[in-house]
Amino acid sequence: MPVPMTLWFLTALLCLGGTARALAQDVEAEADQEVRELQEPAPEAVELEMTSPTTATDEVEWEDSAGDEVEWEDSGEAKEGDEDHEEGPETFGDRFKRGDLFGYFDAQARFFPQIATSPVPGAPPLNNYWFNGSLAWEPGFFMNVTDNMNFELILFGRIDQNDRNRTHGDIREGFFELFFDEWTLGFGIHKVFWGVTESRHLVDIINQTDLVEDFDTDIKLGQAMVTTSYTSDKAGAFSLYVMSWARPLVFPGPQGRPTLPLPVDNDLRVYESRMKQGQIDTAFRWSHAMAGFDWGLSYFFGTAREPQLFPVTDAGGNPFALQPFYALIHQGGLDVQYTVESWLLKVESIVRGGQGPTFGAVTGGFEYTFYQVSGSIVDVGLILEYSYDGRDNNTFILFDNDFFTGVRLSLSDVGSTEFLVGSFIDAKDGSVFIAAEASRRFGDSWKILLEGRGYIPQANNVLQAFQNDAQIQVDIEYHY
Amino acid sequence: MKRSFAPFVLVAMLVPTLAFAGPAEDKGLEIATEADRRDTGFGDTTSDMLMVLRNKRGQESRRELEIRTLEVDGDGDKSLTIFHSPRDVRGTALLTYSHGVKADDQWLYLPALRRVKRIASNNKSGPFMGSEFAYEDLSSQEIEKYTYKYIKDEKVGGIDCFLIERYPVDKDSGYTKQQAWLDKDEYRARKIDYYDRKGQLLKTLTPTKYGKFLGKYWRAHKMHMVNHQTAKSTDLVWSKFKFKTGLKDDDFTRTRLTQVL
Repeated sequence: MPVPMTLWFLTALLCLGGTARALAQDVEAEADQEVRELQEPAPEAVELEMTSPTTATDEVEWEDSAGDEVEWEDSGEAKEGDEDHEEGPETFGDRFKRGDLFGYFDAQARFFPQIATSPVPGAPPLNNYWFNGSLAWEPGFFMNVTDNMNFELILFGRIDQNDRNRTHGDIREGFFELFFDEWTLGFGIHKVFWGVTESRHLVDIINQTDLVEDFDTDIKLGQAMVTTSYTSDKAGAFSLYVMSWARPLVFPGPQGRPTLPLPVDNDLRVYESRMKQGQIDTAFRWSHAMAGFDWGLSYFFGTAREPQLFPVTDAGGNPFALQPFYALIHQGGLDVQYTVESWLLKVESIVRGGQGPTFGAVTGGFEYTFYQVSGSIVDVGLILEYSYDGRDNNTFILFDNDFFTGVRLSLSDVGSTEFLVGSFIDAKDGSVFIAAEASRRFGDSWKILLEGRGYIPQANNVLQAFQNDAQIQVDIEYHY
Repeated sequence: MKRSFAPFVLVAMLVPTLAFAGPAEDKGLEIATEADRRDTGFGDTTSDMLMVLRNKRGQESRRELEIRTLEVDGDGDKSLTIFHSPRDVRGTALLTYSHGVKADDQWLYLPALRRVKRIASNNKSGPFMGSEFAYEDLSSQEIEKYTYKYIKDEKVGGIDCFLIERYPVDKDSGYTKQQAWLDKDEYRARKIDYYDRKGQLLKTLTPTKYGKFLGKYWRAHKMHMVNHQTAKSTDLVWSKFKFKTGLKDDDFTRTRLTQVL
């Protein structure tokens, strides 16, 4: 999003936020009048001997200030004149009426043990630094403006040591949402996720991927939209999305690691739509849970989120950059999950037209979890998925005919320790991409994440571009 | 000739099962049914919950949650559990449609990805948020989830109680039996002992600070669970109970799950 647009939007949000806050104060004032008289909790009638070495203390108690009227057990001696409960801890509901600030800071280090080389002769030299540091902040604000209206704002910014493209900011959310029984109406900048599989998200199309944040395509940029949904117990949920200002896909820059052999020049990008970025995209989704099945059917028409990339050559015929082309596409999607006992069986499939020849793609497989393996607190999850993608249209995809195998170890400990090892294996030539992750919370606010990635490509596999870009990443996050 | 024995074998197998439903079992079921009846009709509730986890060295760790429950006629309750802290899981929410003996339906909302994920619900015996409470300890307590047996009358802390044993029907339960002491006045649980799959005493739950709402519904404001095998313990401190707040089915949908905060 260009800076003027961002500023405009922020200003608009701040104005609206002011109005919303005033509204919220009215609501609070009303709530104050309703504060109920409460009796002081009587001493506990029963105090059992606790076998624990650490006897429970009462210091964690909250007053029941904002709850319903309560009669305490055996409270024959309720005290008079003890109505000073207004200053007691507020409920979560009260906190959200006032507005809740949250977010995290991230300090990230990436280590590259190998020297990167460009597989394309004559291409700009790649970078050979072994260390990259960066800092990020994702501040958030949530407010329950009225009983049936929420507002959420989530911003994101990262400063990167080497890659100018990775020094970036985004409005992840700037979204008003109203709900009335079965209906919801939302407008602003928002993120929406569709789908069920783990290794690839074929059906998920509303938001652009934040590729400079991470190559794994899980992180998304905010999308401007107006959306409405109708949800019924019997018929499921129907959602309609009208969007504009689709965001271009930003690839790592020439100084990034890993990066493409040729830089993608977003200044040269071309849109099929006459409206260019002002194109109005529309999408529709129906989803429903019936017995063990979760169904999703979706349709999208508008500017593709994945651009086709075409080499641009200099006077001598040598390619020096890639030019993105954003076609208008139609895409139908289907996602199904069947859940039975410890099995999750999943499949996602799309058919897309408008970007070269019409093609289909499918990802499917299962996830099985062994809970509390041999009486321990460790859950072991096994994931096996297969992806096929029939496209032949210059879009950048890594996995067109690949198996994904994953093992997830989750410890139900205080720090929510987790390990995940996953690998993609090319079904045709056996090229491998492998990643291992570990994460743990320390105390209530700190989190440490470790990740290693490696590429073992065969000749002529797309992964060859990254074969020397194995990396180890450490993130230290502070959540508030 | 051999074949004609089959009916006898079948009958022989049935006899012990039939013999099981004796007067002690009837009285056990009666007590459980009465306890359930007294809690029927609450409509819906919301409450805030603070979890205090303590390890054997006494180190504490806290979690804050918000729980919304909708009573469903003829089925298990619907509930929405929203996590407020630790802050890295803020906004994570769990939607459960419980179905008595049938498997529950559960969806987990992950706010960072904006993703709603249907999850397997047979992880009954797993620890909830690293605490000493298992998922099954916190789930909707339906009568048909156990078979019962009345043992005797016994005082707990000077209060007259019925001691009943209940045996989980679900094969995924982490327990072989639970011993529950319910007071004779109001059928409130005063103490529950949980026995693990090996039949060893695993945990003891002590609910205290009972408060009465709408003139009839009792809720413990503090639940102390101690694990005898690890010496770890967890307190659940409940507050801000509200009843009949007007929650509807529409507040417990997968759509609404993404909108809680």
